Amino acid sequence: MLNKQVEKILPLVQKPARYTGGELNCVVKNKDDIKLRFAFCFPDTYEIGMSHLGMKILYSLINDRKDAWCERVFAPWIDMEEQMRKNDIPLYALESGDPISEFDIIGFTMQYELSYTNVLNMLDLAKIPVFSKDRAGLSQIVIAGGPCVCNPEPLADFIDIFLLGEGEEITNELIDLLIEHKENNSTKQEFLKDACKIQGVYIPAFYDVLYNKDGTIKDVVAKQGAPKKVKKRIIRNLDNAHYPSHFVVPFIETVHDRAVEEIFRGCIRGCRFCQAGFIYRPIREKSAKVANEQCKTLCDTSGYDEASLCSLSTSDYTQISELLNDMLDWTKDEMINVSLPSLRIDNFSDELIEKLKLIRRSGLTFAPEAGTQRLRDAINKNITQEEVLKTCNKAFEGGWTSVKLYFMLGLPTETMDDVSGIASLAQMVVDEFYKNPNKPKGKGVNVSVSASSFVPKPFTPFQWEPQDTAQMLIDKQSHLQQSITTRKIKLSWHDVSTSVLEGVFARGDRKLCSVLYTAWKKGCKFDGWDEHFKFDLWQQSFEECLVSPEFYANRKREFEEILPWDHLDYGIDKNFLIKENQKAHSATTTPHCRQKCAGCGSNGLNGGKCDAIG
Amino acid sequence: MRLVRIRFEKTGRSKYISHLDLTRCMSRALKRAQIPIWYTQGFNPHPYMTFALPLSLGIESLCESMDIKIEGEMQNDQIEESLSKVMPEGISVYSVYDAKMDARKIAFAQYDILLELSSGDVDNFVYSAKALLDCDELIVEKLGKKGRKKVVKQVNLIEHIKSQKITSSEKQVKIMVQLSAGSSANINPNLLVDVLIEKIGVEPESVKIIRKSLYTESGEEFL
Ligand code: SF4
Repeated sequence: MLNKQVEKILPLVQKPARYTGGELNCVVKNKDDIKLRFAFCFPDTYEIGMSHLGMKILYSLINDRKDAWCERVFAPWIDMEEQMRKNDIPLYALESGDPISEFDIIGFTMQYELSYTNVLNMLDLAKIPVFSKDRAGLSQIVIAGGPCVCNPEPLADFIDIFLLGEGEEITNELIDLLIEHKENNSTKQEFLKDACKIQGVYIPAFYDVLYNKDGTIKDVVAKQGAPKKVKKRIIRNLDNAHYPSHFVVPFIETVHDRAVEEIFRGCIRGCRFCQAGFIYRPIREKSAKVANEQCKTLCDTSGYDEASLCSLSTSDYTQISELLNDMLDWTKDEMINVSLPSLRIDNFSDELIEKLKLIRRSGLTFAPEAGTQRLRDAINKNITQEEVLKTCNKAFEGGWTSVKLYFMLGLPTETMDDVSGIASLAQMVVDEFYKNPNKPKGKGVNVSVSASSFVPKPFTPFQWEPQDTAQMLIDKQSHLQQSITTRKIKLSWHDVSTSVLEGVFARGDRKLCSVLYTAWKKGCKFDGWDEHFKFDLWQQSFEECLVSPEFYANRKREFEEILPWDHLDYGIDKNFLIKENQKAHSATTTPHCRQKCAGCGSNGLNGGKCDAIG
Repeated sequence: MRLVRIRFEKTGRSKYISHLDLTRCMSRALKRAQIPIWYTQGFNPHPYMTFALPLSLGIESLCESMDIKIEGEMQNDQIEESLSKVMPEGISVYSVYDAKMDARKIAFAQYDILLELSSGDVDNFVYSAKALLDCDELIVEKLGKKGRKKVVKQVNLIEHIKSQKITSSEKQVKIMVQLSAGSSANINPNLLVDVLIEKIGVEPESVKIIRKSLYTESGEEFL
């Protein structure tokens, strides 16, 4: 319910429906019937948060319990924050309208490093102390999960509990434990000491980090009975895992406003730059039958006219043909479009192209990531130029006229030749179109090249690599721009300073907590939004805290160095990562998991089982 | 194929749903209810839906009207029943019938405007508002279109008020007013509220506007 104060400011802000709640399928419970209140916080706008699948899964999972109520909270946009602060309205949850300071668990999902300041800002807006040590008692327990918590150290001072890995089981276990401790009137300390016995629970306060003189880590010491290494959690069988039968259907348009069906977790590819490709392993597929049924239910309960399959690489799903056949059966009659993001080009069969023709014709996107074969080999992106061109030709014959190509600048071992290689590859795609006798008649071709900046991430073979400096990236961008000579190719790139900051926090340690706090105090928030990113304030903050961003971003680490995330176990064997790193430097590829298990070690999390190898 | 008119209320927090968002929301509701609706033909088919008189953001209504085309057998009471089960909070269907009048016939809309004031301001507000509405002229500026350009037009509100009545209680002023509505002249009740607040110089605690009913030129209720 909206209170009067909120009603008063809503006419003054843009898109008030971001802040009203009351959407279809949102869950409202009676406060008196439940034992625990959970505020699921997404540290970005409503439109982005509402597009996030993980939040939908956990929202429905928690609300399936009779004894707990999960509500949604998003970062209010600048105009709303201003009104809230002016009128002394604390951050509230959308379902009840109650201030989240009254909640037992405040859970954040950390999807990208540039949302860290928003976490502090949201806590502050909620009038909750931002530092973990300043929160006593068994309510306002602040937890965080999501991909970024594979190195949560820059958030260590603020968060009580990090949940590593997949949240379906561990969230319920933590809720059970907190309810028990609340009933026993325990202290927060007693609760935390019990919580750290749950696999996947990482309580930063239970670890002392000791540093060497040069700023690197000397040792991480576990205390209070916490495990020396915290192992991430996974769900063993996706067919039995909780999946929502209802999505909250927003009124306003969000980034992804559609039914989403997850088809598998993990990735068989092993691209060396890609963190998601490693931290979500091992491979676990959902059966086509279950996926089809779940997706149909979601469409029925939401009324969506678009259904999308979700995974890291849709075409690697072994049951893709079967699933699409089943889905096309009912989606055609019900006027529902099926969309397939994350398609790879190398196993793009004729059959798949035929099916795609029945499916909505959006632009085709390919991600060669690098411009030359040598560099693609180094990053283990096993796509050849012939494959790119062959698939483009097939697509042109299928009626497509625009192609989007994704690349990265700043990859390890990259030279200026690799950079101009991007332009040549895009040019070849253009030429191929005009050479193709079966191209769509009377139309030109559009090739868009998007060049993002590579950021080395934990738990990848490149976790030891120096990131290119801002200046190096800028030089590469302008070299690429000069290498493009036709107007058929449109180039877009990202601001390099956000990549630098992302790089610092991705591989940062606890010394960054003070930088984060200082930058937020100075007014940094929504750093992922170009119009709000204030790099000068960040630079001042690094200086004031005597922390050098270069130490984190641009320094090459030795394999022997203790990395800030080494006490966290994501199932990926460090020796495997070292071997992959060495292979990168000799531009040697590793076959994908279905050709041969590369021995990453992640199947150890699943009793030796990995769906890529049967 | 039948042209079916769906009448619904849009109250509570659903008043913050913009017209564009309402269109999407209704098309999803029709899908959930499995109404055999007719789709426009062509490259990108979409469900045929038209709204009689789009409602501004922030205004509640007890008399919204949307037309759809039905293919197949489904009866109106069945449509009403199926739809009622799937509507989001605040949007509720109260009547479904074969469209009787052309929506272009709408000429007036009846509004209740509720202003919450501090008790000391009520009498002054009622007195001044009555005086202002008794004049021959109450000029406001209205954003309009001339061809493609946006222009500011001067509008005499008095000419667009068909009837009005003001009542008050301890902390509340209620203005019941019938304003021009429809394609030829459409007056947003906020124009009236804003000009009264400005001229009287009193800042209300809250303003609530509810559209109550729609009328034709001759005063018949829109059906
Ligand atoms: S265990 Fe083997 S097959 Fe499975 S993800 Fe790791 S390398 Fe690939």
